[in-house]
Amino acid sequence: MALYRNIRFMLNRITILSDLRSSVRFCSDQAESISEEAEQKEVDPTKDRTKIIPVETSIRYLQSKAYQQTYGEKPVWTLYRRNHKGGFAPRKTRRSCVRNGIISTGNPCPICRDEYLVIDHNNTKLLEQFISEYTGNILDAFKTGLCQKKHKELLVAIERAWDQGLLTYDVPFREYDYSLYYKNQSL
Amino acid sequence: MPPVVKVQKPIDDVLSRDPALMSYDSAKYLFTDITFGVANEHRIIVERDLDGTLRSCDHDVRKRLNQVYFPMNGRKLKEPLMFTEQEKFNSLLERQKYEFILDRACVQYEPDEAAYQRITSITYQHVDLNKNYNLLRSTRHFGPLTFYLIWHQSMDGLMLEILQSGIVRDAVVLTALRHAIHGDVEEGDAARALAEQILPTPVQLRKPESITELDIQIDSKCIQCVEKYIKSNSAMKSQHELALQGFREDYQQLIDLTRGLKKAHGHA
Repeated sequence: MALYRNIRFMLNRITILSDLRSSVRFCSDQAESISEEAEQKEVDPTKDRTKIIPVETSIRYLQSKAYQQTYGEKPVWTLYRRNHKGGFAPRKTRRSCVRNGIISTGNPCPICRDEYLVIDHNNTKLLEQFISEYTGNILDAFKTGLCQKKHKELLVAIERAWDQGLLTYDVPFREYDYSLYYKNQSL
Repeated sequence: MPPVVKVQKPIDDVLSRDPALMSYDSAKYLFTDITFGVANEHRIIVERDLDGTLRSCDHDVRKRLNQVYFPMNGRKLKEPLMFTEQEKFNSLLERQKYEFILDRACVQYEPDEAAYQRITSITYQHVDLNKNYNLLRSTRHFGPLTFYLIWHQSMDGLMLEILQSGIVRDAVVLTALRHAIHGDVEEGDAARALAEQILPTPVQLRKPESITELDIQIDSKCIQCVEKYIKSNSAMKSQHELALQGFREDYQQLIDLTRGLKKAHGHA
């Protein structure tokens, strides 16, 4: 009886080992995994953000009928609403909507969701939508819902546009001390 | 108004030469006196050169150091690209953003810098060429624009615009200013006396709707004065005369209307 039990135990061990050997691979088949990823990408082309779209295309898009139909006259962020738990949204928006070239969230920010909106200093029509018409300040990400990455890009682009005179703003008023210029005359 | 002044001269005065310090360090030393309450223009800023000479800094270094220690709101350490790149500057002119250009030039540059005078003169010429005086009319830059045009003997475009918009009083003031600067207007002293009379009256930006007898008196004098100017100095005589004739007819109608109204109300 004892011998029979021992033999069964041994047989079990052997079968477990053989199973292990078949499941564990000590070398990786890279070619196979790449092809698997490629298949995954092909599944959702709408979420693919690896393609770089030139600014000129974006500028033309902003003047097109398709854009008009999608957004109308309003800024691109007006109809965007953030997802959050509870009654108050967190002060900071998400770090980024895109990871490894693919949209990694179900509710990407207004710039990330439309791949033809490109942030660039030449794209003034887009940049204007993120500047308050009353104060001339750049709107906060809390209001527009942009992810932190795109918001930072926006700040850089607007600063560049101001520097190059593509966008105008109210320049601070400079007071002159005329007594410096009338050196030898009394005012 | 931004002051209109001559271009600054380079500062070049050596305070002392100390050859003993010749190879003391591999870098130049800059010293700034940041005492409170001293104007930027009067601040002492000196440099010790590698060969041991102690000299006052030139304007560009002074401006940079002043901006580092006492930053002016809106001024950048690096010149904005819109001023340095010709293409961007021209695009701004094309879009007629004159006020933005001039405001920004005011903040970025001192009025006696060469760059400031270059930028403003290009802008004024562009305004004059395209007859966009109204874009600058209610700003602090209209005075310098007028001065620039008169100084360079090209005020006739502005004169035409003023006559066409029917404000003779401004035309007389312009004539008086020309006489004050160049002294080449016939009976310019009469124009100056008239300008003295005009200046206390409220500023007109469009044709008046109602006038008093005193207004009529002043305006008829103004018309005579402008006529003389057109005869003696104008470079666009026929156009000016046409504009003045148009104004005269309009004005006559206005006079008739007001006198008629007065009569109808029984005041005359």
